[in-house]
Amino acid sequence: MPNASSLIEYSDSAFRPAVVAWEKAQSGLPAKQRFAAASLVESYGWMSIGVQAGAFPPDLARKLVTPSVEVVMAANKLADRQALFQSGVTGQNQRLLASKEMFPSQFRDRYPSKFAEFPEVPILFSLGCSESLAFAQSDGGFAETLNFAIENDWDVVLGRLKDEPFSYEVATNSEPSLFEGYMRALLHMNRVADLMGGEGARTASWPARAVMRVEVGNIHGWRLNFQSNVFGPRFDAVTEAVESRLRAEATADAVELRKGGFVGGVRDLRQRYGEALGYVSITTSA
Amino acid sequence: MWAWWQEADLYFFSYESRRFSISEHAEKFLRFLDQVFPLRLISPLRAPDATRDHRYGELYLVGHSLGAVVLRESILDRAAIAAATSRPITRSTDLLNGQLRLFAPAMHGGKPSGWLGLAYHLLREINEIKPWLEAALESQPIVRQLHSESDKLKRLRDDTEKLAGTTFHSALVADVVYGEKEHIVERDKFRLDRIELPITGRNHTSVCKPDKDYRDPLQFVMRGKHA
Repeated sequence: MPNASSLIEYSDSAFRPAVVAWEKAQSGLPAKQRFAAASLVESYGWMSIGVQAGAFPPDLARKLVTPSVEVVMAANKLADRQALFQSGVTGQNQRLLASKEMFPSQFRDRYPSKFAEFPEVPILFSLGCSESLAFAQSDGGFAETLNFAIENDWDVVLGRLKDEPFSYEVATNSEPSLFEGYMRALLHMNRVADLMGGEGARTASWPARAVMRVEVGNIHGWRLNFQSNVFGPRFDAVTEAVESRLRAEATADAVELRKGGFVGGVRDLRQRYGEALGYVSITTSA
Repeated sequence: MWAWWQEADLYFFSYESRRFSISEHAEKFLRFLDQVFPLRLISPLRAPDATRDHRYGELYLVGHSLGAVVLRESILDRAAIAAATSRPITRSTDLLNGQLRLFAPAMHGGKPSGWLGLAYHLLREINEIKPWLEAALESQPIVRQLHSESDKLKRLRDDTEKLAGTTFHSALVADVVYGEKEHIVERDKFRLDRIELPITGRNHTSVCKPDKDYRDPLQFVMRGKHA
């Protein structure tokens, strides 16, 4: 059954803050605007998947989005122009926002044979949405920096990571470091892969789950966008810098590290994450 | 400070940490100690010096890392003998009045910290990375041995704290110090121990190695906490 209180909670903690952040970013740097646009598109996207999964009541969702429909439309247009989402989801969002419906119909109506055998879809949505929101709120600017920082800023941030001493003290009001954000990103990739993967991850043998994976990948994949030629190389640079830090520390303590082991492990995790979000070829037609 | 050191005889007891258990190392150490304390070991090649007493006045037991665990096990062994008043005491308990100084003691188990520790604690749930992290940690012989003897360490702590609270043996209470960059073992102390503030810039290995610019270990052995 759709849950109105969950939707209101989601709107208060994710959708409304994303709208406010977008409005605030209008007077800021282009990089901030792009990040705010992508965040708002994703936020609307999770609401849309919630409606499609039967977790959120559509009427209430429409009421909550209506006051901000122009803002969400503008964010989608910017994301479209900047090609922040590679799946064409922003064009589809604009068509939906311009219509009275605002959201697609439920999965079970569009794919009755597939979703009849997948009653846990609202639970899967709820877990995925919560993990995504938790990551967005705790990555310490990792996704924003790796996706949108200009080259000069990026060089400074990466240089700081290479030299940053470890401290047991947590400074008041301090942002998590890039190192911590990176750790959080790895944890997030693992959790998403566990959640969305599992049986049927590599084939379309579990079609309803495959539909969900692709839908989530379409709206959420931009945060850790390994297909982008900006994020991917930066992520690799962070991985190498982190391994270098770990290696230096281990050497000082007579701990032996297998060469390339960390980088290889991250590469395998990245592969599993990509597969879980439907980056491999999966047929999703009804 | 130098006069104090010039008056001291230094004995170094080495052990191969991987060959024996902690209890066996302790037994080997006690046999060694009984040969040199409290009566001074006199070389048969030297003429007896009538001006010097052959009985030592003080004993300082100094341990590092796993060596600290061996010392505490040894002290506990003799303290238990001294406490068993209904049994005849057949072995020396003189070491119980000694002073115990511990550098980076491994009594509280392995606990990686720093960037490696953060990675270890956060990323262990990831199957692709877990084997690499665990292999790295287990490559440290101390950590491997501590894992295998974790029950023993708990008993050592419980029994030592109990006896330290009910007897007056000075060796049951240690002065403890770690380096600020300790990444191998957990920084902690037994309940009545006196712990010094961590020494800046020193790690698990370098905390006990004095040089011309780093005299802290010499002071710490002499005076313990607040050296």
